Amino acid sequence: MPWPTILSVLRHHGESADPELLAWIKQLLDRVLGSSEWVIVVVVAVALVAFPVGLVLFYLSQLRRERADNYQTSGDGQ
Amino acid sequence: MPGPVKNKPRIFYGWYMVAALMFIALVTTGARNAFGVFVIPMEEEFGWNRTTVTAAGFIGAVVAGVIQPFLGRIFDATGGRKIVIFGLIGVGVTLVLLSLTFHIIFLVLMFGVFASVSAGGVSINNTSAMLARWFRRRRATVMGMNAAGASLGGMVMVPFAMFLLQATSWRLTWVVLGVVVLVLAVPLAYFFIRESPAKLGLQPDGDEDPADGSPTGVSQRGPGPLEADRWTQPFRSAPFWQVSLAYMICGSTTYMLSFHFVPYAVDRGVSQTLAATIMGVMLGLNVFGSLGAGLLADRFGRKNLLAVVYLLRGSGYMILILPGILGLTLLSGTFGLWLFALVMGFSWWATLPLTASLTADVYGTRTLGTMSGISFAFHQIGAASSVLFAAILYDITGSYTVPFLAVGLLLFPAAFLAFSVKERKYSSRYVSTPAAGAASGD
Repeated sequence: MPWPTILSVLRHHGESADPELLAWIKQLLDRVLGSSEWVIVVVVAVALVAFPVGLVLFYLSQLRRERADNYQTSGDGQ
Repeated sequence: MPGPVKNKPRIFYGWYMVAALMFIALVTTGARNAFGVFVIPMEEEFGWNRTTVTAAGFIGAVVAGVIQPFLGRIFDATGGRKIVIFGLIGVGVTLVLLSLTFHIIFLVLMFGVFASVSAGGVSINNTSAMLARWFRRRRATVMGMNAAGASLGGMVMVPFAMFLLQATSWRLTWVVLGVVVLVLAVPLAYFFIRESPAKLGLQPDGDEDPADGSPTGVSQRGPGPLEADRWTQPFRSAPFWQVSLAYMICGSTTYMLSFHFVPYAVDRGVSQTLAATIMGVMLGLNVFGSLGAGLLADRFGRKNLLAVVYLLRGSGYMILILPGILGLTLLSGTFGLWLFALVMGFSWWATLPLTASLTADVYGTRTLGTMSGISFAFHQIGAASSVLFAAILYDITGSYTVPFLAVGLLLFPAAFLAFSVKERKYSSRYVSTPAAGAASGD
């Protein structure tokens, strides 16, 4: 394979995070959220932390309710 | 005092697995997709050119394809939990170490090799194989959700990295991405990931144990006639080749697009901003495509839908290319690009849950990690060769018309390959061997 061809492939790179696409995403977000980059950083960071924490808390609450149900069922003499 | 009586869980544990794996797919795929964010600042700091930096990304894609069958084999041999957790730790540590980048070789080794190998352990192929053990009736739905999580990763993590980098520095941004994986995803995996429902005394889909005399449903069917105990067995049967060859064409049509669509659209006379907008919309529609495909496949079967997806994508390519050749003014302009984006966006990731669930239904889950890894290797062979093929033809002809037309036409045989899979004969959704009993792979 000729080296120039491989180099041209790399120059054509345009994966989902290619610079033109990223520039467009940034412009769009700037328009929507204003120019403060910290706004989106904080919003995404909070969402990223909230999801796993929320999932664990929800699971534990369901577990507690199931245990209570089981205890109640066994207490009813079934 | 009566002994404790255990009621059926309110929520099937498999759904917690789905939620955890969606989050894991989101942060790992998103962090890798964010690589492009670092290209310009690293170029500026080290004086590298664009080709040098993107070589790391390209090597990463190749390594991911080569390593996946081996990681799939380890996944099948060990049950999966360990490789997912170690893969996550590897991704997190590598992302943090990328903040120390001082030389291009370091970048290539860290991102192109170590991050790719680690990400392979926690890849969507392996996590889908794990979900296949937990679900039978809703198998394609949960695989679609898993793929949607990965697709969302780019939409969430890329802007996050971009703005964080702008507010701080590229070195700190790598550290934060790594910490997100290490502090949030690793504990979540450790807490929730279980290899199979049998380990918790559950049945797939949360159904009643057949031994309790519950009515027999799809979930309690046994293995199909091609159920594989060894990873080499599927090579001797037609469905594996039909699905894998179609998947190779799938790889060639998606990667060619992700590498060449923006320059192609610019060649057609639209601005770079508009080309990127169309690409962004296309990527956003992925989420709905993979979710919709999963839901529909559990209702109507896999192979016909897979054939329809390939047909749609092939039609999309024809919409993109033929009007220019035939001189149809309306479709050869911006409207044609948007129409293509709509069709392509919905079909882009839709093939993943359909291919993975069909493979699981036909060959069972015992060797699914390896089978999915081999199918993914086929996908990446198609991907790498098509990208090179397009670049060579572009250099020779000066346009993308010939390579786009060629891969677009290949999608019609791919549709035929998918359609010709004898799903009703081989899939455990429709048939099961007489000795069937326990859920396969559990």
